[in-house]
Amino acid sequence: MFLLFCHHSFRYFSRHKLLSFLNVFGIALGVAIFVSVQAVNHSALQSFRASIDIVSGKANLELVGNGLPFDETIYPKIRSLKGIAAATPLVETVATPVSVPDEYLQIIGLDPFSNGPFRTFTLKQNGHAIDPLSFLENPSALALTESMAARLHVRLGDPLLLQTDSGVRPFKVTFLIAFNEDAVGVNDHIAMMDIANAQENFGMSGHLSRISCQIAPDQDLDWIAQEIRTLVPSDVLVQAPDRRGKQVDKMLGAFELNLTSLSLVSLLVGMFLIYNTVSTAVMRRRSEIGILRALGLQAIQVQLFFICEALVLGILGLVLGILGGLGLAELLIGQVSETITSLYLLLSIREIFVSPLSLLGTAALGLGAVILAAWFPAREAALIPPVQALQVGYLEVSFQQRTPRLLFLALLSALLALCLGWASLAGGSHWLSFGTALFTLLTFALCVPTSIRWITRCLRPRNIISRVALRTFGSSLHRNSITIAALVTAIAMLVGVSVMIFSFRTTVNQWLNETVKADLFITDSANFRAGTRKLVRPEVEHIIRNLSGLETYDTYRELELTLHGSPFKLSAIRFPVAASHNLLRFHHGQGSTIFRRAANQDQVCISEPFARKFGFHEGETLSLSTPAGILPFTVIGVFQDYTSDLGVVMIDSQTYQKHWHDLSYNSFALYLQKGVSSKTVQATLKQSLLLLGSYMVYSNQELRSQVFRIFDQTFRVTYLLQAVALLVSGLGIFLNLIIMIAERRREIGILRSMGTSRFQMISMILQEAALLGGLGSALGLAAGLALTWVLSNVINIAFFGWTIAWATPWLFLCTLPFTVIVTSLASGFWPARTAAHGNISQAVKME
Amino acid sequence: MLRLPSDNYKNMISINDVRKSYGPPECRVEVLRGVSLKIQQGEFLALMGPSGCGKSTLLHLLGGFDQMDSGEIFLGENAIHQMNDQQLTRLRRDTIGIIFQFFNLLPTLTAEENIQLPALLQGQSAPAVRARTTQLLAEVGLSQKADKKIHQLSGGEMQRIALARALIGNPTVLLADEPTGNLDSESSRNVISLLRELGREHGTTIIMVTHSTEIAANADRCLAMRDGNLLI
Repeated sequence: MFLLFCHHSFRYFSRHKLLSFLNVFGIALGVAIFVSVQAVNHSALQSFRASIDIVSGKANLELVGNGLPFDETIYPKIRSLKGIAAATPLVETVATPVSVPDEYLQIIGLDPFSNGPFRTFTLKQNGHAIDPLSFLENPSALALTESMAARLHVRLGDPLLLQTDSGVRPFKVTFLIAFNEDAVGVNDHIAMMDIANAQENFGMSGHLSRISCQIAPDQDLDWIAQEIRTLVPSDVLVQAPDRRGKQVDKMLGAFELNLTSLSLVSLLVGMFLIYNTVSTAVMRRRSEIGILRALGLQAIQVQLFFICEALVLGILGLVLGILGGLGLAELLIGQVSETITSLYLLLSIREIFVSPLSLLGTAALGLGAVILAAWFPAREAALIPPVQALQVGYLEVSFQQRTPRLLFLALLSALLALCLGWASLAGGSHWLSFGTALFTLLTFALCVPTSIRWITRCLRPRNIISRVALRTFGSSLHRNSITIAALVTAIAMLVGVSVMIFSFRTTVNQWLNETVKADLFITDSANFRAGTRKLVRPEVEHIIRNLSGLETYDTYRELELTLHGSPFKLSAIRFPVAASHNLLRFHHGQGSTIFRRAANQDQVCISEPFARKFGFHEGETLSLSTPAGILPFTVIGVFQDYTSDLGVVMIDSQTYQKHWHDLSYNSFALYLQKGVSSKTVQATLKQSLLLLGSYMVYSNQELRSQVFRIFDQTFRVTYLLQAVALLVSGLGIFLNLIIMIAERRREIGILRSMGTSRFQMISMILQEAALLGGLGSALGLAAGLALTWVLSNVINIAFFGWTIAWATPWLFLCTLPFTVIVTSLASGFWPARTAAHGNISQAVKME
Repeated sequence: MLRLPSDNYKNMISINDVRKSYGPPECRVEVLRGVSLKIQQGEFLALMGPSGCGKSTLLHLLGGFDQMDSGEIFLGENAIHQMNDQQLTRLRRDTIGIIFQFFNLLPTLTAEENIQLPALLQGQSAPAVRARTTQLLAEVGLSQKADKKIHQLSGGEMQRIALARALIGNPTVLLADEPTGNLDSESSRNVISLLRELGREHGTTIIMVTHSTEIAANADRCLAMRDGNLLI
């Protein structure tokens, strides 16, 4: 059997080199996309974990402020607690280097005395390891990573000006940070200094961001944690450090899932390619199958034969795909890293990580996909009676007979999609919503054979060349169905995701128009690069108050809190200002009324994603952890919001300040009097703020541009994934036509012998290519619009909870079929030219 | 436009020292080794010989399906050996009709559509083509089978459809490559008598390749080939 396989299959591959190569390439592309997305996702998490580990890698318990830094007096209590073997305090903040404002430093203030047992790094100076106690010798000493020092163009001993909370301060690059071997993938934005120095310079005197602890070996961790909780305020979270990793998992879960599901579509398109290849091999070698069966080869052996052939191509494709995927991940990583930093958390992914387990999983998934795709055509080959196997067109006829059954399966699939969608929205698992998308795609793919038959019956071209092209198109139902199904899947994804993004963008634009009315905004420039983290100095508010032409201003303070272990954002704004200037859309009631009622009350408004994620409704009580303990707040309204899928709780500034004792802000929104030029005020403000630090003053228009920059950046990776899926299906068309020409060589010869010119021959094959592209794009458009509905109303609701109003990108939808048809024609040109230039004498002799 | 021989010019086809070989240089097979032949207008010529002697190759060169290595073939005053692809296409479409051993009908078209194919390629009007197809279907005795798909016809019926297809363009020369090779004896006799009858009726020059002496006996002249040479 093995020898037979080697003789027949390898000779078949070597006879059809181009076909085999294109197949391997197609599979490799699908796999590469999947691998790259998995690698990027894994690297994001690994990078975050490694950055946590760097200064407290050996900790098994930690205390972190729930949103705000906490009082440093807690530290001595923890350190002296029985059962705590070691504890170290940390201060974390963000600073902008004055010389390179596009970069940021993630400052970690550490205690050189107590950090020893925890650290997984070494400080180096001229190649020698230095004790962190050396920080104490120079109050302006700063340690940088080597790569960051290179990007900032500084060397050891050079001064570095940093924008701090008390203005520009000079620091000295005294050490380089060398990470231990196991701390791979650490965010290279990390910079270290002495804790006291960090507290003083970054407005955190008397406060800590974190205390990392090591529990004595004989102590019970849960018991100690419980003990600590009795000692600390309720807004200090006591948790195992890996809990933060789990929170990040949750935080990035939906974002990563989006990329993973898109990458799976590429794999699905690759599966169509394998299916088509195996069924083509079966068709081409029907006589071979017949002879082998007649000579005694068993049906199961025939099936194994074809599955093994597909596996040979599949394994080659997998190997190339995995290698290519890792390369592609290197290209994607910058985009993804920026998106995650803008939307979720500070992250700088510098290295690609692939766990052997994840590679094994990908290989298993890829091989599983190959076997699944090859199974059905291989089984078909096995079940052909030996005599019929020798007959031309047996498989085509048997496939044509199955068309009604496929239509029935399409209806069944549509029904399943509806049921799963309903189950997902009715409180079932979110994953069911992906089932809805899958069965929606499958419904349209299963409709392809019926559509081909319908088209060939309905169209009656007068021109004989067109008539032959149409008949040939209809007679190759089996092969064309698979090629078109692959195209339909890729186009559906392109249309579905594009229309969804367009609708989402239009909705966000409308939302911005209605809600963001301020003329000018002020924030620290670091917030542009590293998300809303830096505070604005109190002097800024003083400047704003004295500004001429100002009608009023709003303040914005954002904290990241956790509820039931999941992060969300608490936004404090001035409700009285919002009542008169902000037109947020609420599910029930007017924004102005709600804001007026909730001003200075223990009442909050929650965003749609928050309501969905945590299951809160209007009128219910939400308990939030504050420095004064856990306090109840009444949910007064649910509003549309597109700023964060983590969920937002909006609270009046006065209420926030009352309970959180925090008078700081992250940004300001300024409303100018009518007739006052925002440009003039912007220029004045920029001038006034120059001495206070690196502040950005941007107009309403500039804010929108920034919002859409982040928006477009978020979805940029998806366009690449779609492009690859389209490329694979374009490859499918090319392969299909190549196979068609090989199979119909004799017919082409006959037509040429009857006097069909080369031009007519090319035109005939291009007409078939256009039919493939045309039908594929028509069904793909329909499937894409259905998929948009599923993405917006099922998957989005299940995972994010945004309200997305449908908007149709008419230009894109109208030009897409033409683009697809032109691409099909381009794919078909070379095969058509080959067919037209074939030797007629050889072709008509073929039997 | 193809220039046909005038009435006083009786040689329809002139083949002069035609050579043709196949395969890579290290194992090249010489199929035609300097064949020369003249065929008169309206003549029914049978070419006989064992498999591989080069008779089908000669036929394909006459039809402009393949390029010769050297030599000359004139159809009337037209040098086939000097024609480009466009001219050869026009030659096949307007001047030559062909029948194959395995019928070579297009399975995707009906019997009627197969017959119409060359005429439609010539650009004849649809009503004229339909009328001519009806006439030819009647002549080959298959009026009832016009709408049938190819796989619904018997071998004899397929070959009669192929004959009708070869004649619809009113070709000057009809090439028949083993037209009865795949038929039973009764069907073979029917096809050959039809071929001869219709050929005469339309004044067509017929060159037929066959293995069978019985079939060859229907021709005006019979020539034998062996190892790429014509035996006189």
